[in-house]
Amino acid sequence: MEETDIALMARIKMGDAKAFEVLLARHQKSVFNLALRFLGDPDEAEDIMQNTFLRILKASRTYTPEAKFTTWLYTIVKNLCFNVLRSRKSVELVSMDNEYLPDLPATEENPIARISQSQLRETVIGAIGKLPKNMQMAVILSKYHGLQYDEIAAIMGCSVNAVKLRVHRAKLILAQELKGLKQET
Amino acid sequence: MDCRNIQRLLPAYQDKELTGAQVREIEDHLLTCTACRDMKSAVSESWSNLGAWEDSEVPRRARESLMSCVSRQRKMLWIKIALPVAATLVIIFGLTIRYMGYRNEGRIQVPLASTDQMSTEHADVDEDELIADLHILQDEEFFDAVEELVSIDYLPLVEEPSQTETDEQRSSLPVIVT
Repeated sequence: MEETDIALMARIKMGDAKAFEVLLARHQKSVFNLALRFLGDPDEAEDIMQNTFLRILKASRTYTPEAKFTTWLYTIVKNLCFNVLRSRKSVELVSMDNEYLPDLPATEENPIARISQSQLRETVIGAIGKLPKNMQMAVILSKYHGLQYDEIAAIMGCSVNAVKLRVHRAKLILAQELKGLKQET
Repeated sequence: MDCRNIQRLLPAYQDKELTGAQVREIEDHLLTCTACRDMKSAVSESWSNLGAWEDSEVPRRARESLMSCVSRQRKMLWIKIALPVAATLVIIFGLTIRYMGYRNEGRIQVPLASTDQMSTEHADVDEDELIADLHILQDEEFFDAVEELVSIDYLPLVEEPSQTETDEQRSSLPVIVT
């Protein structure tokens, strides 16, 4: 039976290097991909992944399992990602207090366009990239990490309703952006 | 509700988060409105299309770099722990040595401090026995070596002047009267 993340953290706390390697192997991909999708830069995503696990290692001495391990893990990643954005200084960063929801684009008739997998991928990346950053994070956590709204709310430090609002609005924007696109079979 | 409001509620409708009355209203509307039906399909299709952005593999160098960083940190941690411990041990060892030294000095100083005891011990020493213990003096080779050194004038024999000679020398000194 697979050892739980919390059990691994307890072993890491006792200085077990093997437990850290197991935890790293288990979560490195999701951490890297969350940072990559959010920041769009592989080098920055690598840095985020390394810093996240170094923080976990450092915090293992004082770690107490109050929430799901992944909630704590993704909160670290989210904070590091937003720190990177702040350092870039020219970013459409949405304040948590001042919820900004862009207007929906006007509905247009889009003929169905059949595109390749790579083209669809690029279009998806472009469409997600256009979303405001808080919305982007909510979408990524919901779609690519399969998290529930309450978990996303805990990670993002906002209400569940705020998360729902962001994801719902994002779905409508993405529907406009990706309307009529179908992958070639 | 008009089309705009219906479309705004479509994601919540798909997430089954609306009240029964709202659901009925939307479903009735969808039966008659092609644009909203298209929008409903677009919302679910676009969400599904996000899957085209599949996960990327973590570069091997990222993991290796992280593990080497962790290894360095662990070494630093050991140094941070070991250094104060080693320093403490050295201090304890030094203090112990110093304390032992004081104790030994105390043991030596005690008989020296008591002059009466020393004189008593001194009185008890048998000189013949002491000389007998000095084997080196009994070693013939030693005396042979001394004789040899004397023979080559390396160790000149100095004869002690007799008492009368010293008295004569003293009387022959000029006396200066001021």
